[in-house]
Amino acid sequence: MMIFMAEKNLIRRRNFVKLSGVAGVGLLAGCAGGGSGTDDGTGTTEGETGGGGTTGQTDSSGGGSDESIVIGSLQPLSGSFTPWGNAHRAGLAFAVQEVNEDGGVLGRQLEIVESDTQSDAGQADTIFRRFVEQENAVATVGPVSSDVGIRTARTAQELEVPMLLHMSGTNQAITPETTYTFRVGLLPAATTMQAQASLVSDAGYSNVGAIIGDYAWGRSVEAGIQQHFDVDVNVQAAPVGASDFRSFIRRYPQDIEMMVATGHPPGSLSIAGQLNDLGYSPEVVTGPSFPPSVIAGALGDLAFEGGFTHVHNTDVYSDEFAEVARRFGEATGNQFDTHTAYGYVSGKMLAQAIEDAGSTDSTAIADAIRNIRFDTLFANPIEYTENGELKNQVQIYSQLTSEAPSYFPEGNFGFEEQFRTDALPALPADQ
Amino acid sequence: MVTASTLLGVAMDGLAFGVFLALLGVGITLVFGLGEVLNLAIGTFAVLAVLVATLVVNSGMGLVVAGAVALVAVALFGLVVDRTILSLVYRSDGEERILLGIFTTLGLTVFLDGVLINYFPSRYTLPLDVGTVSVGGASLTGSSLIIVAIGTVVLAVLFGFLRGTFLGKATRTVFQDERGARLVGVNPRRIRTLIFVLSAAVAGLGGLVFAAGSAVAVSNGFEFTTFALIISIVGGVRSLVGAISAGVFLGLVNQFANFFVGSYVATIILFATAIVVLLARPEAIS
Amino acid sequence: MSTRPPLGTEVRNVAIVAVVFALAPLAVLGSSYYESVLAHLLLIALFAVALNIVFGHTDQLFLFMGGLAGFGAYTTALLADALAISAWVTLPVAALACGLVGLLVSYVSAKRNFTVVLISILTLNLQLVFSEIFVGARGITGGSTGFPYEYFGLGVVADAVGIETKLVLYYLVLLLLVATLGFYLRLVHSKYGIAFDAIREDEVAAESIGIDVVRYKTIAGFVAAFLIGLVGAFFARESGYILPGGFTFIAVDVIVLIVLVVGGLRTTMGPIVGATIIVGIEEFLSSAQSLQTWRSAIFGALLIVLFLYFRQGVVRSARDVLSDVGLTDEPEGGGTDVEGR
Repeated sequence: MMIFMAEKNLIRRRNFVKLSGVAGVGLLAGCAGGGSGTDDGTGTTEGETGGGGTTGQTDSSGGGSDESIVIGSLQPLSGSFTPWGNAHRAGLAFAVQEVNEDGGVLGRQLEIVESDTQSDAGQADTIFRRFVEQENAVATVGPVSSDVGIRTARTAQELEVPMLLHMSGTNQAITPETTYTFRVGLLPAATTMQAQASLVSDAGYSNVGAIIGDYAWGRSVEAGIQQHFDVDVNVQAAPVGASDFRSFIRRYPQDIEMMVATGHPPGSLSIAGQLNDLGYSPEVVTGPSFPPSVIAGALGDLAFEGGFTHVHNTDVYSDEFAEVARRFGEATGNQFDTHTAYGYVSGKMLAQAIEDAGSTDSTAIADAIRNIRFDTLFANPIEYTENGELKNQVQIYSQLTSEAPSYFPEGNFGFEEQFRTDALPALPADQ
Repeated sequence: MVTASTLLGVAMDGLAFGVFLALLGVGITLVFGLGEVLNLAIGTFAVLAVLVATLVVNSGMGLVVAGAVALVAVALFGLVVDRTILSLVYRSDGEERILLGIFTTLGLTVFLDGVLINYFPSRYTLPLDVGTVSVGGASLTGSSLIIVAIGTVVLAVLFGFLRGTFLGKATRTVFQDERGARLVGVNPRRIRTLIFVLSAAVAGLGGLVFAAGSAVAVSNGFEFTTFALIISIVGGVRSLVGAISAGVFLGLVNQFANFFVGSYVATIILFATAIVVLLARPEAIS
Repeated sequence: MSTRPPLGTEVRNVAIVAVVFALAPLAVLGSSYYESVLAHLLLIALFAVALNIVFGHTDQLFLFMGGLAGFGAYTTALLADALAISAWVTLPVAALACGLVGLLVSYVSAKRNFTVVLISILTLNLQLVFSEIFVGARGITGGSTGFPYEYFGLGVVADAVGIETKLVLYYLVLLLLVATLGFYLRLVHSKYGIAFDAIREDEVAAESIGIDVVRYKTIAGFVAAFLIGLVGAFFARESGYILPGGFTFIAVDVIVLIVLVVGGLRTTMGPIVGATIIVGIEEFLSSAQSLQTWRSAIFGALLIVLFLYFRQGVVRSARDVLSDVGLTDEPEGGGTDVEGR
C-alpha cells in the first residue's frame, strides 16, 4: 500500500491542479461577470457597478459626511421568483441613485444592502434580522413569494421595522396585527379577484376556468374567486413547482372563454403555452403580475396575440412613466417595465417617507408611510390603511404588443390596455 | 366528463412524458451500468441542453439547429466532466467508487445549479408551435406526437448501436468482463468516456423534449435527476430495455394519476413505486 | 482496531466544548441574529452526530434526515395542538415514531443485505415522499405556508430566569448536544463500538464471529432516527415557524453531510468542528455582497473537493499535525484511515 501512495500522490496532485484550475477559472469568470448578461432584457445588473451585489455608486463621498441610510433589499435571486427579483432590484437601484444625485435624504446618502432569499421564508427572516441588527437598515423592501411575505411581515412587526412588499399578494400577509408591512406592487388576492370578476361581468363570459398554485397566494385567489365571481368557476390546484398542466387543462371544455392563471404565477406561462398547445383559445388568460420581459421572451408571438394578460398597478400609459422609463433606458440600456417600477416606486417612496418623518427611526418612518399620499407612477396616488393595505388603487390589465414604446425603441415589447378598474377599496385587515 | 377522446389525449401526453422519462432513465442507466457511477448531475445536463438551445434560438437560429448545437454542447461538457472529475472517481473501486461517484456528482449538480442560476434566472421553453392533430375526435398535441417520434427513433438507434456495432458490443463486454475486454483490445477507459458522453447527450435530448411542452428553470435539474433515479430503479438499473419500459410505463401512470387523483398523489405514486421495487428486487442494483 | 483517543481524553474534549459554547452567547448578547446563528450551529452539529452514528459507524447512508426532522417537528406540534397537551409530552412520542421509521429502514436494509448505495437511494426516495406530504397535506400541515412554532413553553422559563426566550432555547439545545455526545461516547467506547467497527470492515466476517449484524445496524438506525426527529422539533422552534422548505434534501441533508465529512467521520469532535467551519463559511458568504448569488456554487464545489481530497476531515488532520509535532498524548497510529472512509 505504502509504495503506491507516493505515486498516487503525484498523480493526485496533478489532477487536483487541473481540477482546481478549471474550477478557479469558472468561479473567477463568474465573479468577474458579476451575474450580468441575463437574456431577459429587463433591468438586470448591467447598469450597475460592483457586479452582482451592493450598488456601489450610492456610497459616501457625494453628499453628507454622515453615514448613509441603509435600506435592506430581500430579493428572490434564485428559484421560481427570480425574474421578479431582478426587475425590482434594478428599479430600486435606479431610484436610490436618483435620490442620491439629488442630495440624498436628510442630507445623507441612501445605501442598499441586498441578499438572496431564495424565496425561502426562513432564509428571508434571518436576512431581515441581519440587515436590521448588523447593517442598521431602517426599512426593507422586496418580498415576492406570499410565503415569504407572511413570514417577514411577522419579523417586521417584531423588529418594528417597516417593510414594503413587492408582491406577496396573499390576504394573510396583512392582518389586524401588522402595522409595519405595506403593499406596493400587488393588490391582495381578494381585491384582484374582485377586479377580475368585474372584467368577467363586463365581457359577459360564462365559461371561466382557474388554475391556482397550492400555496398562500393561490389559495387566497381561490377564495377570492369564490367570493366575488358571479359565474361558476372550476378552480383546480396544482403544486407550485408544477410545469405540466395538461391534465388540468384537459378537464375544461374546449370552448372556455377565460382562464384565470393569476393564482399560479410560476406556472402561468406554461399554462398559457399549453392551453395553446392543446388547441384551446380563451379570449383572456389573466396572468399574475409577471415581469413582462419574461412573458415576451417565453411566449413570443403567443403573448402578442393576446395569449396572456398582464396585471399591474403601474400606469405605463402615463407621461410620468414614460419620462422615468426614458431616463432609465438611457442610464442602463434596459427597458423600464411594470416591475422595475415597483422597485423604483419603493425607493422613492421610502426616501419621501424618511424626509417626512424627519428622522431615521424605523417606527417614525413606518408612521410616515402609513400617512403618506405619494403621487408616483401608479394611476392613483399611493395611500395606505392602518395596517398597510393599499387604498383606492387602480388595477390595470394589459396585453403585450410587439411594438416597442417610444421611450425605449430598442425594446421587444410594448403595452396595450385592455381593462382598468375603478379605484378599489382597501381590503379590511381581518380578511 | 371523461370521454374516450380525452383519455386518448391524456395517454398521448403520458407517452410523451414517458419518452422524456425513458431518455433520462437511459442516461443514468448507461453510466451506472457500465461505469458504476451514479451520475446525480444528469438532471442538470438535461437543463443545460435547454439553456444552450434557448441561447441559440434567441440569436436567431431555428429550433433544429438549436437542438443540435445544444446536444453537442452538452456532450462536450460531459467529456470535460469525464476527463476531470470522473477520472478521479474511477481510481477507486467497487463500493468506494460508487459512494465517491454519488458525492462528487451531487457536488457537481449543486455547483452547476449555483453557477447557472446566475446567468439563467428565468424559465425557458422551446415551443414547437405545431398545433393540434385530430385523431378520431381526440385532440392530440402535435408536440406530443413529435416527441414520441423523436424518442422512438433515438432510442432505437441507441439500441441498434449497442447491440449491433463493434463499439456497442465492446461497451457491453467492458461491463461484463473488464480484463477480458482489455485482452481483445478494448480500452475500458475510452469506452467509459464514450458512454458518459452519450448519456449526457441522451439526457440533453430529454431536457429538450421536456422544454417543448413545459417551462424549464435551473431548479428543475434536481427534479429531473430524481426522475432518472426512479426510472432507473424500476427498470432494473443495469438494463436499458428496463429503463425504457419503466419510463414509458411510469409516464403513462403519472399522467393518468395526475388526471384522476391530482398531482401530489401522482408524485407520491412515482416515488412509492420506486421504493416498492427497491424493496422487492434489490439484487438488481447490488 | 479503532484509532480513537482514550475515553478520558474524549470526555475532556466534550467538557471543553460544553464550556466554550456555554460562554459563547455572552459575546453576542443582544443580537438576536447571532444568537440564532449559534443555536443553528449546535442544531446542525446534533444532526451530524446522528449521521455519524448511522453512516460514519455503520455505513448506512441516510439521505432522509430532512424528512425525519420534519416528521418529528410536525408530529410534535400537530399532536400537541390536537390533544391540547404540552409539546414536551408529544416530543418523545414523535421522536419515537421517527426512530421506528429509521428502525424499519435499517432492519429491512440489513436483512436484505442492501449496500450503501441502495440505502442511500431508498432513503432519498423517502425524503422526497416526506417533502411531498409536507407540502401536499395542506389541510394538516399548512402546506408551503406553514404555521408559527412557539411550543415548549420557553417563554415561561425565560420570564422566570430573566433572559430572552432565544437564550433559553440555546442552552436547552446545548444541553441536548452535550448529553448526545456523552451518549455517543458511551456507545462508541463499548462493545457496540467494536461491533460497529467489525461490521464496517467486513460484514460477512463479522457475522461469522458471532456479531448479529442486523441487530447492530438496526439499533444504529433507530438511535439516529430518534435523535433526528427530536432535534427536528427544536430546529423548527429555533426559527419560530415551521415550513416544509426547511426540511428539504438540499436544506438539511447536503449541509449535514458536508459538515460531517469536513469535521471528520467517526470522530467525536467532528460534527462540532465541521458545523463551526461550515456555519462560519455561510456567514461569510451571507455578508459578502458580491458573493451572494454564488453561495450554492461554492458549497457544491466544496462538496466535490471535499470528497475527492479531504475525506478524512479536519479533526483527523489536526490530530495528525499535532502528533507529528509531538503535541498530543494520543497513541501512535491515531492517523488517517488509508482508504479515507
